[in-house]
Amino acid sequence: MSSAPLEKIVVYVDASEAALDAARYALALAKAYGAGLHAIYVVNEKILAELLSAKVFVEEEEVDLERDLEEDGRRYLAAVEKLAAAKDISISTELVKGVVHREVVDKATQMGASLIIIGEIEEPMSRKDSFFDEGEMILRLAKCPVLTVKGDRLVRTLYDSA
Amino acid sequence: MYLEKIISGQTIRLSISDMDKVSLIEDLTDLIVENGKGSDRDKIISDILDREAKGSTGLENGIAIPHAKSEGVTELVGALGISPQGIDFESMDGKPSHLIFLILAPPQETTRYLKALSAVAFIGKRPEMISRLKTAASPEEVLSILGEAEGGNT
Repeated sequence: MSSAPLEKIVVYVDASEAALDAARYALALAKAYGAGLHAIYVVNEKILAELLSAKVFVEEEEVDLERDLEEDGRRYLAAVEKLAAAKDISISTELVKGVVHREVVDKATQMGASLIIIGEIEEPMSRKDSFFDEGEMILRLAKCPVLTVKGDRLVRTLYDSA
Repeated sequence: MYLEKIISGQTIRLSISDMDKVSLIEDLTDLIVENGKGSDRDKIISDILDREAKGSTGLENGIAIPHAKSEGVTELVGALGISPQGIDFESMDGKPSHLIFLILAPPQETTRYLKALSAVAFIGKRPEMISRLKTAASPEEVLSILGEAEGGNT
């Protein structure tokens, strides 16, 4: 199959099962189209700073939770690398810190990605969430098409057959 | 919407009075354990008090958010205590706390834990919502107001 329609895919990985399904879908698509695949996890510094600013957190706690987020990121990116290795698909991974949607969109733009893949967008946790969900912000601000992955059974079947 | 999933009618205590900070934390923890959301009462209370020792989670505007990651719970869970007359939660503005949101998460639940805390902090910035929650007559009314606060009915 030609690699022209999809040359580079960026998959956004957060610490969720939905993100692993997004990765499975991305891997299947990358294999089918011969596309390059890059997985990115972003330590959400914005929410940590907001909770510190609101005095919900003390500084020591913010540091601990930032470290926890980094560990989550390493663990989930390792899981994605394992999924890729199981299908003999090449993938690069990256853990960065910052504002989640900005980092993902900037990375995709910088790489000239033809597609961003993200997991299912959760039901909003708050009114604020419904205005400012990171997944929705990626959808709004991306310079390329964005695909949200739903339906874990279908996705796993697709991955298994890749 | 989402807070309604982690705070249930069974983990809401209304009309709290004459209770000190530690007793209230113990009481809300009991609600969580009695409703099958926590397995180790002593561990949970110890983790919350360890966090409080670093600085009180009594914020401004009558809201307090005691919280901890704890191996005493297996899922993200919350409880809410409401005290119309207020209790001393060692708040940063020195005023009584009326809404005490207890938020707990297992160690591996960092992302959703942060979102839950952020959602509660956001409610804390809305005086009209705090006022309505303070005078809610039933857990069902509390959940309904939380639903509005979080955009469920907007």
